[in-house]
Amino acid sequence: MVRDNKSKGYFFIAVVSIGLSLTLYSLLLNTGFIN
Amino acid sequence: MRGKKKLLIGIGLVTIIVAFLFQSIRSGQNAIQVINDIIPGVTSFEKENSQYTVFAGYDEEKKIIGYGVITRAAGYAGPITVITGVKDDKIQKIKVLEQTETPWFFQRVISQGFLDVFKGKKIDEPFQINEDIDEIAGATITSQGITSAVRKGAHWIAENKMGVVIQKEKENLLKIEDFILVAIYCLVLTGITKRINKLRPLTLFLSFIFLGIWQSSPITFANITTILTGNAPAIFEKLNWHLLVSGTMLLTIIIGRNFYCNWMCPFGAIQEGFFRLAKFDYKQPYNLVRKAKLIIVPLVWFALVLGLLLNNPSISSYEPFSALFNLQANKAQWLLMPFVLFVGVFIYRFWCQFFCPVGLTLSLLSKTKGVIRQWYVIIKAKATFLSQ
Repeated sequence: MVRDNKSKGYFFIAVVSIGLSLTLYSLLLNTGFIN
Repeated sequence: MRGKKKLLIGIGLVTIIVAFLFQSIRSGQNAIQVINDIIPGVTSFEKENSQYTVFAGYDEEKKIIGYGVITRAAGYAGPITVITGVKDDKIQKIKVLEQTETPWFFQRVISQGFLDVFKGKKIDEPFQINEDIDEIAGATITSQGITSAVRKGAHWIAENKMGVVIQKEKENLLKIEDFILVAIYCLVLTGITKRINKLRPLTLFLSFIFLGIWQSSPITFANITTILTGNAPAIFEKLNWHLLVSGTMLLTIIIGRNFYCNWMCPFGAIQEGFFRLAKFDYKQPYNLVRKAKLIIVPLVWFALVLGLLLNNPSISSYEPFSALFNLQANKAQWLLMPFVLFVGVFIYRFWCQFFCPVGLTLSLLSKTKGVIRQWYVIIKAKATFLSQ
């Protein structure tokens, strides 16, 4: 088992959070609720 | 813990079913309300059900002044229903009655005045995209769907009400694209059944060229929801679509394996290509990866329920594929596509691992065979026990 390195962990959390935010933003744009 | 998991799955499934029923009840609208709008001067009309629903519009002296015909054709994410108003031998006006296209895609078609292109055209014209009708860039399939529906209606009125003979070009049922797709399927199945993993880069490359660049149509979540909600196009109208979407779903169930993502997906191919070329030594924090992989389930559930409640399952298709392959996307998808490709250099198939709704759906489908087999064994064992 690879021990979680702090900076790798932060990087991972950051990219997943940005990915998730953009995905939800895309979903909301698709609905037409926001432009 | 297991009980809680089952409860959550149960709630998730029930909400999807309720949203689906809600969508089925809401769809469908009264076309009669629009008849006056498409043939001006009509004071009364008669409805005729033949191959299509046709309205003959009368003036005050009970003279026929025009016709309205309702036709359907396949759009991007389901059928598009159009009513075409005809007066003399020209199109007066067309109106879209029902559609399930992605709202901003459809809005693009409407705002660019695509429906007005048909106004004043003679009903025996070919109505072919890139011949006498210009498509709306970035909304090709929607433009084609509307044009195809108008063509059906206008030509039907021409032949059946005006006595005009329409010259129809014979189209081959099978096209070169169908054979190429079948050839890729054969390569994939050979690779999987004979365990020749060396074929995988080849099938990914071929799919990237064929599905990504040539066809610009990798499988999207909108395609899958179209099938799940019973809005799939007629099989002979869009054979290539069915070969890809229905074919992949059926094969996934039959062989019990999600082969599309690893062997065919063009977006997966480009991510994998970047990752392997870059060779960055980034060891993923596995504990976090394990947790992050759970995000996809509520995400897809939310997207699906939202799409069904808003009566438009194509909304749930949030992937950035069209930004890369069609060069058309919403603002978020334009940001998402380069972001995913960039992160994909460090994290193997970043999109596929954490966000792809197509991957999740196909993985669930691949388990169908195992579940059926399990049930079969249980039922058989019970039957044997009872007969003893």
